[in-house]
Amino acid sequence: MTDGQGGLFDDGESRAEEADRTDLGAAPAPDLTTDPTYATRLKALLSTAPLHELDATKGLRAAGGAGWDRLDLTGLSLSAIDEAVDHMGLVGDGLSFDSLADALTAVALLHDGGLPAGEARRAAGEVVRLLLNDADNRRAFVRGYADPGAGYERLRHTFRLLEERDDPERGVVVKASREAVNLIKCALDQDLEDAQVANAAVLRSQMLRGRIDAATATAREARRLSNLYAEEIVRALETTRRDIRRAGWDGTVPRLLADALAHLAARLADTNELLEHAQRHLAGGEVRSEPDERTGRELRSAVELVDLLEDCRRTHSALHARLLDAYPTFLEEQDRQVFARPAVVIDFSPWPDLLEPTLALARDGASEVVSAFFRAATGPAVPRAFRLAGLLDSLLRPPLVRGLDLPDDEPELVLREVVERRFSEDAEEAAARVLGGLRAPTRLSDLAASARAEAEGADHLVVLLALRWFAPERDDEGDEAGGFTRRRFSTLRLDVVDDGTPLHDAVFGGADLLVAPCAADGADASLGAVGG
Amino acid sequence: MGHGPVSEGRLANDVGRLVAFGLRPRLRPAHSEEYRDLVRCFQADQRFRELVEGVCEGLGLVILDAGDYGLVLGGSEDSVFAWRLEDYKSGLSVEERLLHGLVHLGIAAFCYPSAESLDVSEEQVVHTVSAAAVERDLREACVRLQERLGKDDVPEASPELERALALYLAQAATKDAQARARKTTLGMVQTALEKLAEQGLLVEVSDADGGTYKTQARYHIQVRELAAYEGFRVLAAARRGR
Repeated sequence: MTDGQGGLFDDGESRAEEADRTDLGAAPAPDLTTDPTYATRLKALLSTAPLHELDATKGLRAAGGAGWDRLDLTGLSLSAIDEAVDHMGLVGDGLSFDSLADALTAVALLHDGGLPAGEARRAAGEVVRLLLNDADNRRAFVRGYADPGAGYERLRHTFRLLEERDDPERGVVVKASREAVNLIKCALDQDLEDAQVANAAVLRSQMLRGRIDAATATAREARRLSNLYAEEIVRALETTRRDIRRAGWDGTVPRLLADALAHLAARLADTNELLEHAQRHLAGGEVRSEPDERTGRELRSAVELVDLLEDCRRTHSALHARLLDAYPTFLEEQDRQVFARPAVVIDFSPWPDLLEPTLALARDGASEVVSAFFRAATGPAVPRAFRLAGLLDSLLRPPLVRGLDLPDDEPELVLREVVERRFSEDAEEAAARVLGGLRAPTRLSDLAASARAEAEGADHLVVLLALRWFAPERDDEGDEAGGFTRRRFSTLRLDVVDDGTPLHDAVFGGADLLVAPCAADGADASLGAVGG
Repeated sequence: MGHGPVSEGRLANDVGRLVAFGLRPRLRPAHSEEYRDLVRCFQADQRFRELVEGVCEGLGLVILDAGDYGLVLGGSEDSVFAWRLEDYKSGLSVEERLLHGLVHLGIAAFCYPSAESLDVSEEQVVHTVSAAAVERDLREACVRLQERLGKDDVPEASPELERALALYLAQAATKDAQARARKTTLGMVQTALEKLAEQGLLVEVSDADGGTYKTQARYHIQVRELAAYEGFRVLAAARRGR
């Protein structure tokens, strides 16, 4: 059939043919594909194909004997995408491959508690690698479909599910692709903006009725929605920034900015109000004494609710700041791009159109191509400057004898991990327990004593770490703990104060410092500044 | 932001510092406030931008990008900063130099095989690349091409008429054939990946498959903005001249 949309006007003959084929009897076959959302929905459906293929080959992927029968790999895939979306916001460090695999391992163990941890981790890794399309060098997935808009011509739908991206600030992070985000959005069946407004209304109603558990679930959704919205806006900004001519300055960008700013202002007001309400609820809960099991659970829910809403507020604020910054940037970019050379568009495929023909060339021609390519692809090299100190060395070096028959094989060098370790593992663990478990200000003498009781040398390490936070040095300055230990304790934050009490200890002298867990959360403080 | 009425010496100093940052490709503006400020100046201040462009042109450097990944530079043909295949490793024969060059072209084509993969929107997408996979795909491509094109009989006296792929196929892939470790094609791919990582274009992930790496956005920029067309231009000329 060549005229896909013309079904209504077909003559009787072809309609009879159609009826014959589809066995629908005399009634005219309605064109089920005229729905304008058909193609979009079809593509969404196709994007789930790799997930089903994964589940279908489950038996082959499990290691011999260890069954994955109870694992729902499709469900794990969805969890992986959710996890990626939850980390896509503008705040935080982003999600690494390993932390995603860790999170999925925990989910896999929920599916099947009897699964060995190693096997659960393997399954989790397998799911992430599939979603990244590792098997095909991480290229986009390609699935074919018949497009009703183009006379049922076979077209290719290319898409990704998860992708690793080189974030300028955070390095390599895992993100959900636009198509994966669409998959989640299709499940929403609404514009993100509308979904956010609806979500806030539900949240408000749940909180007013004191249904904190339900409100927490809704707030989780709210955080996901704000991440999705931020992602959508940031991508739009990026595209525009890269090529204003392509994105169009015909009012699209100013409108996008104005709409987003208005929407965000409303979101921020909403979120602040909800947050205030949740905090009041939390304070009320804490005042009530003797928490029973039910109120205990409610309290935990309320704490999570406040955290989730805080996340939303931070994302909104960060996005708001970016949008405010965007307008002048666009004006500058527009200026710049009018005069700059146009963006390069590569209209040939390097493998078949450049590499293969070069391989087929005679040596001389091929040499010219690869020389030009090499110079352009590897970036500049800085020539070594002449140094007198180096000259003496090179003059004293014995001359290189050419033609000498030396063994050709270069020695196989094996990389050995050199660990500079000044404290035993036991001591490090004891110190981590003692300092990690700090809840209130404690005397250094008490800390040293409890560390000493746990492991030999642990007291030295505890004192060192306390001193380190009493007078923090830059990392590259003298460091008695050694690099390995330093790295291990890199996340530890302490507040250390000298109130003049002398230290009475058999080993150490000086002041009996007061050591407390760090009160100011660095991330919070800096984000608060952005929000304000 | 931007340069108001500052002295020329101060301005020249800023220009010099930005170019110096550009010559350290592993450094990113996110890691250095000074770098970030200079890049912002470049984007926002036309006078400063023109000065940087002029200095780079004089040094034989091409500005490929100035943004989140820093000042990305390429060396033009006669620049002192151009990294040439002749300077790649000491003591290489003409044939070996060609093989190393083919390997570099192969790695780029492996990471970005299609026109779509070099679209600007794909700039941030990270690909994994391993020495074993590149060697295998390159060798397979050579075998397939040789089957399609047929084997040419080249006079023994003029081996330079031989196709480049024959040279590649004649080189052992791994050490089995008692070849020097670094002179196998796998060894050459490993060397190339290491060098690209030193240039801040790849990062090493693990030892798996002869060394596994991830691409950086900078590699995409380098191939997209300069190398792909440079290679294509010379290829077209070489084919016309044949």
